[in-house]
Amino acid sequence: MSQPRKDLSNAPKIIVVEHLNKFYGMFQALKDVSLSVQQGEVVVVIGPSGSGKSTFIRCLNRLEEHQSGRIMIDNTELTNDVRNIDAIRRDVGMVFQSFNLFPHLSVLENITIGQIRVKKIVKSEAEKMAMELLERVGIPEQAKKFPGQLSGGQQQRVAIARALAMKPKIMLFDEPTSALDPEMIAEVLEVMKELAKSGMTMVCVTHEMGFAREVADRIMFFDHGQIIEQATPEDFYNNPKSERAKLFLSQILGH
Amino acid sequence: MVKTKNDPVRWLKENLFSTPWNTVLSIVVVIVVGLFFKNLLEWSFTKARWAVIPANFRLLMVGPYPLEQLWRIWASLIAISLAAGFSWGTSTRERPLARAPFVLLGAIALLALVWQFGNPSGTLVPVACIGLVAGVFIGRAIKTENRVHYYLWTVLFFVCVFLIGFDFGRGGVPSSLWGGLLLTVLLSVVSIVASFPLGVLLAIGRRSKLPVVSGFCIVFIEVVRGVPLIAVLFMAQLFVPFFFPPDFPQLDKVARAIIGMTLFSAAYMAENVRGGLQNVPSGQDEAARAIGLSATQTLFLIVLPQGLRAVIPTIVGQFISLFKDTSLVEIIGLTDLVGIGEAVRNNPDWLGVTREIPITLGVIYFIFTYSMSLAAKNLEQRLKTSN
Ligand SMILES: Nc1ncnc2c1ncn2[C@@H]1O[C@H](COP(=O)(O)OP(=O)(O)OP(=O)(O)O)[C@@H](O)[C@H]1O
Ligand SMILES: [Mg+2]
Repeated sequence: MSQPRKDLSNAPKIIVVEHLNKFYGMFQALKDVSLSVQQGEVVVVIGPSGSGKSTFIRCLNRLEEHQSGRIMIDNTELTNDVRNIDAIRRDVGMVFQSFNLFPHLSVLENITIGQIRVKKIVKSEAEKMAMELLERVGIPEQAKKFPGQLSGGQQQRVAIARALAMKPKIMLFDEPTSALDPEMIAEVLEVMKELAKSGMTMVCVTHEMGFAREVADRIMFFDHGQIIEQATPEDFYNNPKSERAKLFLSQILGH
Repeated sequence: MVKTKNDPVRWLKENLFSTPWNTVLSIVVVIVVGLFFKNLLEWSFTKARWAVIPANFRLLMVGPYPLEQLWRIWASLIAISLAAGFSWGTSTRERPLARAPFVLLGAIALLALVWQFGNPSGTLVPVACIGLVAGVFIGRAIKTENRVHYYLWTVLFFVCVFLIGFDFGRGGVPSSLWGGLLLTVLLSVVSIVASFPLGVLLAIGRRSKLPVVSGFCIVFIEVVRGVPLIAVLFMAQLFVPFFFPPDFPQLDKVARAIIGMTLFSAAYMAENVRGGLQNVPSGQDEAARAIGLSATQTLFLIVLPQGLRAVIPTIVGQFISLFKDTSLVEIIGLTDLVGIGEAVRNNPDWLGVTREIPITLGVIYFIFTYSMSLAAKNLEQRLKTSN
């Protein structure tokens, strides 16, 4: 059954992480994490609570600073150099569990603010593109509203549009559906699937197995700040190799 | 509760006479308050000499400001009514809720005009009214962005201050001749306008990662907050010259008072703003950084607007008390509204006139403070609908 979804054999490595270590004070949240992600690849990160999944993807756009190891995004290394950080943040979009839309700005302004302020695109252009993105995520009629007036699912779709507006090469998702009511999860996953199929490089922390099985090229299983196992979705869900992954799957798949 | 509103007898029963104790209390209060108002009305229609107010109106409004220079005040008032009309006009086009502050501003300007002080022929009254109405029509007709209003009022602010004091070749009006309501409004408006950005900067500075910056801000804020305004005013009179080289022309009393009040208000402002900033969730900062906004952009476009919104009522409350506290400048020899009131009361021509003045001053203060709090309510309402 495990057919390759897309041909990634010639795709360049767009994310390269080598021996990454991250500490919070004395506590080591990431232990010698190394991996690479190819352009167009969709990686789903799973693991128990507190295993370091959020910490890992937040290191990828420097919302968290790492103490040792290397992170290369599209051939630029993430260092303390502010110019590099800015350049990388322009290329990396992020979607948060709690949406984090700007409540004092309208939906349209939420999406255009980055283009106008960071990319210096003129307002009318930015708004045109924002409307196209709202079409893409299926809520163009909400453009004039404020985030507080939208449902959770709609807010998360706006957040995706906001990230896409910067034309990122990579999209990071940190449990984008876990703050949503069950009936809204599907609409957000639809948008994410469409994005995955369009060839976007994605790193998603999510426990949505349907999504992972349908679009993920690889599952990465984290535990205690380490990558324990990497495999295709079929292999991972059908025959997990490590004991910890087996235990974890038995827990999330329900008893 | 909705039902009882329509039934006064039931409302009375439930709210005033529900228990014997409440009944006694209600009756006592009604008697005391009733007596007070009966005597007050009796006094104000029989014994009170209200003529003291029109006779001294110009003094109360502008103090010793020279008669032949009053055109400066009139020009400012006309400019203000034009601008108020303009802002009112644009705001009613999209958001009917936003009108009240401008109505009040217009009303205040008109009130001053109706009394025609310093302009016995009264020709300037229609001019200002026409200005207000013209402003409304211009505001309705022209498509403007919010920014335009900020620029307009900022420019107007400087124009008015300039108009009131500057020498146009016919002799300026030194600040020693400013007084009455004019001085009260000038002192408080300038201090409020200046202390707002200063307070925001102090609040931001206090959060700075540089120990020198945050240390300075903390020391400044805590020291100023630990001292009463009277002391700050005195110290400003005595120590402001130390900030300048010895041969530098001395700042006048009014400027020193403004500096004192601004620093005082800024320290409180900083603490209020800090409270607001702390309430903005860290996710906002992260989301802003993630789309590539710089730290400065994140602060000014995302964090600060949300933090300020949360503390509008506190900030306005602070400005209202600053407005009232301007009356303390009497002790450094300035004659603001209260000072002029005292002077009139002590005038031998009006011997025996006592209550009329404080009542009038109370009404004037109330008009100003109440419109400030209305404006704040309005602003909050407007921001709430956009949230
Ligand atoms: N700011 C912080 N300071 C100190 N410790 C932290 C901080 N953020 C995370 N940690 C710790 O780092 C570890 C990894 O946290 P992380 O949020 O990455 O886990 P996670 O895998 O995303 O978990 P979850 O599924 O609950 O989101 C946890 O033990 C957490 O307590
Ligand atoms: Mg997490």
